[in-house]
Amino acid sequence: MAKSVYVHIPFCKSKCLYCGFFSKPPAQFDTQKLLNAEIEELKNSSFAKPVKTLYIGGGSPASVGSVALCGFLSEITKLTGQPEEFTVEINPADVNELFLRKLFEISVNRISIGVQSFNEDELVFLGRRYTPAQVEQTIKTCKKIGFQNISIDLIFAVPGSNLNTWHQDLLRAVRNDVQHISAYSLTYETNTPLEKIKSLGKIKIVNEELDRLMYERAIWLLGQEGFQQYEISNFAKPGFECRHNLTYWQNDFYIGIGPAACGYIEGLRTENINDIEKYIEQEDKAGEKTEIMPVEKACQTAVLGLRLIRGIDITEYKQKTGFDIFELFKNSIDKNLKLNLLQLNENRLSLTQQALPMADSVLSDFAEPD
Amino acid sequence: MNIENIRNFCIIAHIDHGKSTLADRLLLMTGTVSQREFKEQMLDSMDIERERGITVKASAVTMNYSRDGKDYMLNLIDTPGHVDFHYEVSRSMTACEGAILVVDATQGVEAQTLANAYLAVDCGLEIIPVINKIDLPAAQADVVGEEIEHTLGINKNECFHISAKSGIGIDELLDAIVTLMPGPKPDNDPHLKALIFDSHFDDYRGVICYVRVFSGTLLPGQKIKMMGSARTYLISDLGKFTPSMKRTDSLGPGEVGYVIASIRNLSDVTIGDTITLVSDPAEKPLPGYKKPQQMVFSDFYPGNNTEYTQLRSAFEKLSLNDASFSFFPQNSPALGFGFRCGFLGMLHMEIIQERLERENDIEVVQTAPTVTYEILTTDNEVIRVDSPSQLPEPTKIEELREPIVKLEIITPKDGIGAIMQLAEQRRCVLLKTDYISVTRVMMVFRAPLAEIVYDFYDQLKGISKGYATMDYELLGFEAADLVRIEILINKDAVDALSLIVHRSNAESRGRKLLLKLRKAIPRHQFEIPLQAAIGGKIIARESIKAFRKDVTAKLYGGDVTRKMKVLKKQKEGKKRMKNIGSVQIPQKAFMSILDTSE
Repeated sequence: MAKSVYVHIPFCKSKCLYCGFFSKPPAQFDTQKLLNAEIEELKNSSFAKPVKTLYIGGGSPASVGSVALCGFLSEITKLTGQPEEFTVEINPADVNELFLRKLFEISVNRISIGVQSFNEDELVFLGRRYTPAQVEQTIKTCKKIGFQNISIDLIFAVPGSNLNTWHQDLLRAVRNDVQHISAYSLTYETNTPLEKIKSLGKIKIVNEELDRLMYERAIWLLGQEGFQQYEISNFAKPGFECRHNLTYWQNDFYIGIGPAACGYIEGLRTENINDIEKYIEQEDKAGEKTEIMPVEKACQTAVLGLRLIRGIDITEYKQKTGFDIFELFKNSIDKNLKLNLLQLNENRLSLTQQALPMADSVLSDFAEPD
Repeated sequence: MNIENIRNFCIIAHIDHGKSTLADRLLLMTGTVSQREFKEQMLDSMDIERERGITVKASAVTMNYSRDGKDYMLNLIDTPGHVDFHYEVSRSMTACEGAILVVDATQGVEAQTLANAYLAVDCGLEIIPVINKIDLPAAQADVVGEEIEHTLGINKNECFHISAKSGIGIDELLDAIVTLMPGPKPDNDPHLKALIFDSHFDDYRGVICYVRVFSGTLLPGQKIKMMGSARTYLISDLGKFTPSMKRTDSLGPGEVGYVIASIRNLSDVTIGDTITLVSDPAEKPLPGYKKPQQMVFSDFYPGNNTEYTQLRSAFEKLSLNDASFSFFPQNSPALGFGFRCGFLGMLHMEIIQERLERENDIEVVQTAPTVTYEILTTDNEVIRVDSPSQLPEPTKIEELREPIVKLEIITPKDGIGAIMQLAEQRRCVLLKTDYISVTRVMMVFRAPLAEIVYDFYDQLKGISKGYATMDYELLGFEAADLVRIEILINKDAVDALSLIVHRSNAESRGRKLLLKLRKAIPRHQFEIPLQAAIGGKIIARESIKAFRKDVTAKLYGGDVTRKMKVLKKQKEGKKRMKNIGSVQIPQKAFMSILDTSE
């Protein structure tokens, strides 16, 4: 039974250059209708109540309006029970103190802020609608209200950046005393304006070598500042790992609510329709289901689990998938151990430090049995 | 049919000079096929032949023709036009008494025209020279007539001027066939002797033998013996090609047709063999029989989505229809299990490769073609090897000999300079230059077969704007200063990439090959040194830089399915690559040694 719920609010006032998520401008839709439809979908879903984690993502959830969102969230928690970890994603441009206070009152206990950068030029380039000062103000307000678990997203390898600007960015993030940092290398997602600009050759892409140095800098600096890297792109103060996201990497079940949301329920991967109107109209909102066969499950468990720095516990893996990882991926494991890209310590198989920047080349070996 | 009223003949021509059109025109004019059935190039039945305008497998067709109240039986025996099939051509010609030599009025005499014409003369055929396409605006019948006179010693006034396409001059040509060509020479030997000049495999009836009867009569129910292989069979059916197979009661002296005798494998029948009766055998077979010799070799390995067993059954199927190529299991440390294949020549190899992929829907990885080398060992033994990896230790080699051919090139004279340059690069020695007309030249070279075995023809076509034609003939083996270049990838020698080259070219070939490999092999998680070596001495080196970053930054619940797909593709890609140590080498890397372009 799923113990985690993801709720997708597919609205955002403006689309950032790099954004590949499903989101639409809220002004063009009856947002309340959609929220109602999502409640309906949740009602028809089965999960273990109370859920352990609840994650409200987007889009920008606040873009439907603070009153509407808070009302919606109360409805949701009536159905899910009080989650142990309750995260809401926010865009600094869309929130104020009153709103944040309301979130706190309805028991949201983790705020995830899509900061992306503390550098003004980069924020402009990325299409973000706020200043670094606004970000810092938002963080300060959250703390004042009483939030003790604040996460921020940062993007590196933005065109025009260098090791120094990135170092400054990291320092500023650390000085704001947050508990969790996700640091992503800028991804040129397909069908984004960013990809188009890149293909036109109009921007200077950060080269592979610098990208790697920036990544390694993040690992080093955040480590110095007491953040533990627990996943390829995620860093947390002890005890502040994102439990909701761990669900994904441990390949546990979760429910996805809302247009374009994905779920993994009782061996089925689900994907909802990525059309807001059709989603609202649909009688059965649970989208397309794909059965995950045992071998496929074993592959997914390996690929996802190896993204965690602690890696995969061999015994747990066998219990979860029914397969011996050394039988399923014998050649791949041997090869990568030999290349010092994988390591085996105390019954755990994990990526080595040097494998992290090239994790996909290792993980792809686990995408199918040998 | 009275033997005097039979005419057995073939048409010889260069590619595209109109052989098939002429054959079709003859079929139409003699009423063998109706206008309705008339379709272009009836005689060529394979796709590839039609596309390339060449005839690979010979066919035969019987036509009835009446002149001055006399009925004639005309047997047109089609011949493969390319010199790779030299032996088959010679067997087909042996079945004839005459040959129509077709030369395109817009193109003139070409290398293959000459090669086949000489062969016809050797076989004692009466040659009727024909200048085709005279109705085209660019036709230069007089000039071409002079070329024929100059190169073949046939008076230009004896040439027939025709257009096979529009039917001009065909009546006169048919007349000439019955008046100028002799009928079959009567053979008073009472024993049955029939020459097998071709064969093909039919899924339902087994092997169909194409035969020309020299003496005696073939009848259904006869117990026959192949004199070369000593196998015996019972004739179940026989007849003529009209052009479809039509059963007849018998095949008498001078006649041409087919014999079916429940023969299962094409390899049981050898072209050039003589059929006789078990009960009353002929004393001696017809002359000229020999086993076809393979000169060009290449390894074929299963490619993407193809299994070894699939490849094997595809080869088995192909060999049903072509007994002149061979395939043996081969195991390469680099490429796994595959086959070493021998071919008559370059074109033959290309045809087999194309048929393999087209008719069987499989993909193959083909290694660079090599030729057969002769080695005199220090033990004074002479051995032949057809693959660089079979070469003995350098210390065991007393002398390494390579096959040498006589290469004839006919080109417009302004191509001489460029051809000389190409020839020089390929170690060819000019023997003579002959003006066959005011504007065109025949150049004769002594050339190492290895140097022309791949892409030489393409290059020749390129530098002559498509006008030059070539043909070659094996002269023998000769000692040469040859070395084996070994390629090391990440310090491991890769047998499938080694090649034998002349010492003078070794360094530049090695360097070029490494540059190609550097492009063909993807970056890995570590740097990969590439080296070319001769006998342990490094002659060139390159390296493939390691990639520095390859990681998906975000992977959350909504990304799993999509990301797994991408990773799966990557893994499939890796699986298709060949592992040499910890380096994964894509198939195209193995192809890069085929490519000598810059």
